[in-house]
Amino acid sequence: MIRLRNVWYRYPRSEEWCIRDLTTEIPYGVNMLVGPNGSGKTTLLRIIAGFYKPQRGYVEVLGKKINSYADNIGKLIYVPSNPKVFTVGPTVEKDIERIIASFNSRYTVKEILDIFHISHLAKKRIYHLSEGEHRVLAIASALASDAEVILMDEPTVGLDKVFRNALIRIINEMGREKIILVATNDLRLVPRCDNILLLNNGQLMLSGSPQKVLYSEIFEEIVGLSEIVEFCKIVGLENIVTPEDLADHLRNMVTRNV
Amino acid sequence: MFRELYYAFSLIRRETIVHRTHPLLKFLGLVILFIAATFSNLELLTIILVIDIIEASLSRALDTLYRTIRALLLPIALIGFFATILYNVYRALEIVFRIIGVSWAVAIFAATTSPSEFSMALEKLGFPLKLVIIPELSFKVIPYVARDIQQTLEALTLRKEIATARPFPRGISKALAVIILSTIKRGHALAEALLAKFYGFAPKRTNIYDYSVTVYGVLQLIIKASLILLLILLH
Repeated sequence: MIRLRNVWYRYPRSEEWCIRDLTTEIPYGVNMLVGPNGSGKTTLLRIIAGFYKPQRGYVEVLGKKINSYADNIGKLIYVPSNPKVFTVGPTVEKDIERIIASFNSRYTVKEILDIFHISHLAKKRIYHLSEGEHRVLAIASALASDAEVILMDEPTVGLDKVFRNALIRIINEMGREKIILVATNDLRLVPRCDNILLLNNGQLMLSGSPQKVLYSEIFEEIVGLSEIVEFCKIVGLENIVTPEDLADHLRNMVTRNV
Repeated sequence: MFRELYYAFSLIRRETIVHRTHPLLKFLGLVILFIAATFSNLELLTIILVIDIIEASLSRALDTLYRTIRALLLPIALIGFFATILYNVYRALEIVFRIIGVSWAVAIFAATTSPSEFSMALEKLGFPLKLVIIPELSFKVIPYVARDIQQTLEALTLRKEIATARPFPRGISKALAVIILSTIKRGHALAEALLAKFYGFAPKRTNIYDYSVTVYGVLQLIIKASLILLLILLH
C-alpha cells in the first residue's frame, strides 16, 4: 500500500501550495489519478516516486517512509510523460531485456513482446521509433520489470485506439498483484480500474470505485462526464461505467423481454 | 545537482531596481566582473563576492546564490581539493572564490534578465536579428533540457540503469545517450515551430519592453569598472 499523510508541497520559489493536506491510501490494484490540468497529478506522482520531498507530511511506500527516490529503487518504477527519458535501448528487445535482468522479473522478453504485440519492433533501434511506439515501449518495459509499484504519467497520449484498448486490458491483467497508479485525463481509460482518486487544486476531492466516483456530482463538476455515464444518466441507468457493462446490461434487458 | 542548476539559473520575475535595469548595462557589468574575477587576487575576489551578495539582496534573489552553491558543490570541492594538493591553500581559495564569484554573477544576471528582453535590447543596438535570436532561444531551451536531464537521471536510477551514488557514478554514459537524443529532438521541434511561425523572416520585431538607463545601472557599472582600475593599480 502507498500511504500519504497530511502531505503539503509547493515548488521552490513558489508561494502557492501545489498539494494541500493530502491524506489517502492507495491500495493494490489499478488506481487512476484524475483531475483537471494543473490539479497536481504529476506533482503527486513525483512526490510518491520520491523526486520531491513534501514540506509537511510524509509518504510511505510498501511500509517504508520515503525520504528520496533512492528509497524506492528496486520496488518502484516511474514512467514520465516523456517516454524518451525512460528508455535506454539500443533496440526494443534489448531495452526490455535490460529491465527484466535488473529487476529479476518473472517475464521473458518474448512474453512481453507478445503481450504488447510489438514483436515486429523487436530489432528496431529506439531512436527510430515513432512517438506512439516509444510510449508503448516505455509502458512495456515498466510492466516487464514486475516492480511492485508502477507509476505512469499520461500513458495513453498519442496512442491509437487499438493499442489504448489493449493497454487497458494488459494493465488490468498484469496489475493484479501490484500497485499501479496512472495519472490521466483520458476518460476512456478511467472507468476500467479498481480505484479512482479525484484531485482538484492540489486537494483530494473524492476517491473510490469507478461506479461511485464517475456518477458523483463533484466529478461531473470538476472533470465532466464520460460519454457512457452521460448516456446512462440520460436513460436513467446507474453504476454502468464502461461500454462492455452497458452492452451486458442491454443484452440482459433484451433477453429478459424475449 | 541538475535540479538545483535549473532553479539557480532560472528567471525570477520580480519588480526590483536590478530587474528594471537596462539588460545591456547588466550584461556589460557581468562582462567586466568576469574580467576582473579572472585576474583578481583573493582580496579582490572577496570584494566581488560581496558585490554579488549585495546585488542578489537588491534583486531579492539570495536563494539563487544558495542554489548555485548547492548545484556546484561537488565540482567546487573537487577543484579545491586538487588545487590545494597541486598549489597551496591560498591559491585553492583563489580558484574557488573565482568560480563562485563568476557563477553567482551569471546566476544573478539569469535571474533578473528575461532572454527576450536581452535579445530585444541587442536588436535595438543594431545587432543582426538571426544572431540575436540565438542566445534568446538558447536561454529558453536550457530549462527544458535541464528538466530532461533531471528526469532522465531520476527515471533511469529507478530503472537501476544508473547509480548516481558518489563518488563513482555508474551508467552515466547511458544517461548521456538519452539526454543527447532528447536535446536533439527538442532542437528539431523548436526549429519546426519557429519555421511554422515564420520566425526571423520579418526585418525587425516590435519591441514590447520598456527599460531605461537607471541610476543603479550606471552605479553598478562604475563599481565593477573600479575593480578593473584597482587591479591595474595593484599590478
